Amino acid sequence: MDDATLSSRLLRAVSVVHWRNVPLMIILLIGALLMIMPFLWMAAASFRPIGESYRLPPSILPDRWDFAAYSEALSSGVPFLRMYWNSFVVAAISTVGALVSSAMAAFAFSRLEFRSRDKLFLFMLLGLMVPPALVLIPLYFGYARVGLLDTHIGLALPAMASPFGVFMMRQFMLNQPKALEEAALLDGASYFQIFMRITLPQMGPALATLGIITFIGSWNNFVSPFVLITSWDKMTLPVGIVALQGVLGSARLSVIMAAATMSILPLLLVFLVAQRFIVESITMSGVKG
Amino acid sequence: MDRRKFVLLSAGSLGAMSLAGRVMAAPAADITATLNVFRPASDTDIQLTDAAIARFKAKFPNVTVAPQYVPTNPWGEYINQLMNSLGGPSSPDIAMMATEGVSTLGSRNVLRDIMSFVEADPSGQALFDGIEPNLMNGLRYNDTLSYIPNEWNTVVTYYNTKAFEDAGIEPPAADWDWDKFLEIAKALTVTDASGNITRYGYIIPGGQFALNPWFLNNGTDRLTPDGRESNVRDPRFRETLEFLHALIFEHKVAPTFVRNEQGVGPFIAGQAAIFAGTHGRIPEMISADFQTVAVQYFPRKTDQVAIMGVGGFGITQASANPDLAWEFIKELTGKENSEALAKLMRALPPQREAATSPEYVAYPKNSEIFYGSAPIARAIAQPPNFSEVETITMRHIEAYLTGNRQIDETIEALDSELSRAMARVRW
Amino acid sequence: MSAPAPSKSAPLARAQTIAAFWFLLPGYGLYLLFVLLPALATMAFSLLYLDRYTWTVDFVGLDNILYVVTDGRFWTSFLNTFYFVALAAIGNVALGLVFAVLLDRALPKALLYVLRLAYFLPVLVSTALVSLVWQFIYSSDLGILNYYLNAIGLPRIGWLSDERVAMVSVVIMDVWKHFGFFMIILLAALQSIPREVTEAAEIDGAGAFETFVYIKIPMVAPVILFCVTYATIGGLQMFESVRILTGGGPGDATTSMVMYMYEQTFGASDVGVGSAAALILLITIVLVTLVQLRLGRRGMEG
Repeated sequence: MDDATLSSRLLRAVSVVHWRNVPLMIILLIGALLMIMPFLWMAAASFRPIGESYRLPPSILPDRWDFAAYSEALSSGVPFLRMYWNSFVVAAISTVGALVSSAMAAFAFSRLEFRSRDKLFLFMLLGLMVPPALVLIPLYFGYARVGLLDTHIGLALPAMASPFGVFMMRQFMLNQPKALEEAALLDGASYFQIFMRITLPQMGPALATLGIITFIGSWNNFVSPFVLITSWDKMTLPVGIVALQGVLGSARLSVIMAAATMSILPLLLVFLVAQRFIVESITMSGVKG
Repeated sequence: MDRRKFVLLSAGSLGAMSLAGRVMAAPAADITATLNVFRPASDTDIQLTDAAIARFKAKFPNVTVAPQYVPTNPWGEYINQLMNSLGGPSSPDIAMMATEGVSTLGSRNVLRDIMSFVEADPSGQALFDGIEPNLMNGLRYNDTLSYIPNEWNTVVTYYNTKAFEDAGIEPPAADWDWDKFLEIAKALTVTDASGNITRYGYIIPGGQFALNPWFLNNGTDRLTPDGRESNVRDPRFRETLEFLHALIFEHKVAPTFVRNEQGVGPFIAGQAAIFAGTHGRIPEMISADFQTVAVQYFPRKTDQVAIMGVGGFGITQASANPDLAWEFIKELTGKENSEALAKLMRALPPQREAATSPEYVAYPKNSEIFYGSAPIARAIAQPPNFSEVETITMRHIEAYLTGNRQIDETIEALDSELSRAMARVRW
Repeated sequence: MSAPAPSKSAPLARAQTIAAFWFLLPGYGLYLLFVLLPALATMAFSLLYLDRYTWTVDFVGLDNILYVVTDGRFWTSFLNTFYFVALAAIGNVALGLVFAVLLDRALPKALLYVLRLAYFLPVLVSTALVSLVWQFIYSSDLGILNYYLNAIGLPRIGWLSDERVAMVSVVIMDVWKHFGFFMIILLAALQSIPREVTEAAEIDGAGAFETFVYIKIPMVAPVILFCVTYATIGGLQMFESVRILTGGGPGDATTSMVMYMYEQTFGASDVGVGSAAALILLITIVLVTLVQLRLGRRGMEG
């Protein structure tokens, strides 16, 4: 990339500055700084030597650069890497499951005609009002009986039941032209073939959006693993780190903060790179809903 | 008692009696089986289990030991998980339990009577060698013993020796009382030029286990000794609470009460000169290279006792390989395990030798009192709903010690809620 | 909707029904198993006493519900939850709207990127982790807020230890975490107002403020309603933030309904009572949602 293009890009990025907007922009920037202050504090605390965790004054910016907390968090005594892996596995299974089941159900609700179709759909939407916390109690006991407690698949299954996902996919499908599908139908293709070859490929943005929302939702979920997961081996990140606080004790603040920083890092990186896409996806689902 | 329970209890005792009459059949060395072990999740537990498995493998190479680690924060959840696992696919053969849950498991007859195994094994009695007999009281339920102890905990007072030197006062004597304590705490509280307190004399423990000795040393507890009724209307209970409250608000020698605060963090950072903790707080001090620390018994009021929580391993009724499980328990609790535990400096080994060796008591100073507490220690009453009792008690104590409630309404509310909870218990 | 096939012949209708069955099986099956069934089970559980250790079940009728309804702590948690929802929903949506308006103008791309990063990142991260961090920020003696308050000469505040402040502290953290989400949605709504409308208003002589109040707000009203409803439903289910920050304390100042549910089910090992509380929560959510939607619709028609 030559200098001319780079500098003209930069210029375009910082142009469009109306002078009357400047005080506003300054306010917004100060606000932004306040917003990320907790993250800065977290990172600063994580870089303190373990024995100094509590020393005053507390700092917002790292004033010491000691990686002891990080190496302790990654050491074998703390199953942090395992929790990372568990979170990933559960989130991946949930996402794939949610996408498949929602897309298929949405196909039925938008492309197929059958008795009570709309009633069934509305009935499913009622599920949006049932709080997940409520579901977990009977689920816990049901799982205990059938041995699904403390399993990744047990954790992922409820996340796949997504009335919101079905709603969103159906909405998207309804806005897609049907010409191709009707042609294929006349050609004698089965509904399944139509779904796989024609509908699904068109669903890219919707699938990506639901995928992102489900994955992040599962990654950050606390209540479900809190109730359904019991042993160290299977624990996911949010529950694991909170449990670590109990196990490691109050003197190891920097270790907890190091673990927290490492958990947030992948989200941060993904967000830095794909910010526009993520924000637009979530907006799209929010405004349409 | 109702019919169902009668049947259960008589079946259990018949089973126990028949086991007692059994001659110990040591399993063959080449037996193939799987043993499921249920124990708390902490790095200490994991390391000790791995070591025990290694020793066990040498004797029984074809046995697979499958440990399941479950966090004990809170203990109530740990017990719930244990109950869920029983009868399931990886039903535990061996379970670890601490004093808190002994009556819960005992009342539901979850574990076998361990004495039948001890008596049938020539080397069984040796497991109790060197263990202070009083410790076993922390594991008994109605005269039945279902556990071999593997560790125990007590709470002592840690103090900063340098802070004492700087203030020019003598370190606390073993029989110091509340008045002396207050005097010392005041002398150790340091204020800077602008009136801000830079170091508090004492930091009040935020957890029930470390808070209880204050009540015990005043001859009181939140429940009656049989563990069935609320005892908070006892004037001495109130007196203890008011004393702690005064430390924060009247004498200003202690900082704001924080739930679950273990005290060791602020102690290491020099913000508190004295705190109360278990032996498990020592590794943090070691890694911070904190040299000027010593320990002492709790200050006395009407009594001088220590609190104890004892942990042990038991064999479940549901186990299909009880004799094999017994063999593994010997590895989990014997001398080698205690020596390994001693090296980790966390919980206290049950054997006197391991807990009083020169290396063990070298740091902090005066560490002899840890095992010295064993003869005078008491296990507090822990009914089947112990976790609910703890939640309720700590909630009200927190409300009072953070200055949000007066003493009268605290006692009133705590008593009524605790009584309601105890009335719901099915024994 | 879609025009029906030329001849609604029996074979075609049958084929569609069969296909529909298979397509719906995973999604609807999951819904039935993991949403509907548990909801029904909750209703059943609320009439029972289940002993967790022996798995025996007793029918106790309305005892559990009576216990909950006569428990002062339950009503405290009920009021706490509504107090939280009111503050948090208003805080989130109002702040979101304010910032959306501030951002609804031409801004340099670089600035926009930075702002979106800062305001939206809290939304993306886990509530549990954020609560851990804020727990220390709020610490009375060691936290950064009190440290700086003290440094400028103001008295320290018992953010989490003073029961008058505790709930507000929880709300502050919640708003910090969530308002970016509403800001982004409301910004998109504002930006989707056709230019012609605002230009027509300008031509008619309306000032910026009047344009905002009489033109823009009505046009984004449905989105605002969605935001309020969404924030309310979320707020009614508050659990992890308050559990980690204060554990429901001091006293019961911040105990939420879901916390009460869990305390009864897992703490006191009384599934029946926990389920009864869950049932009341469910009814509350349904009622509140219906009321909001009805009020909202009436507001928009008016």
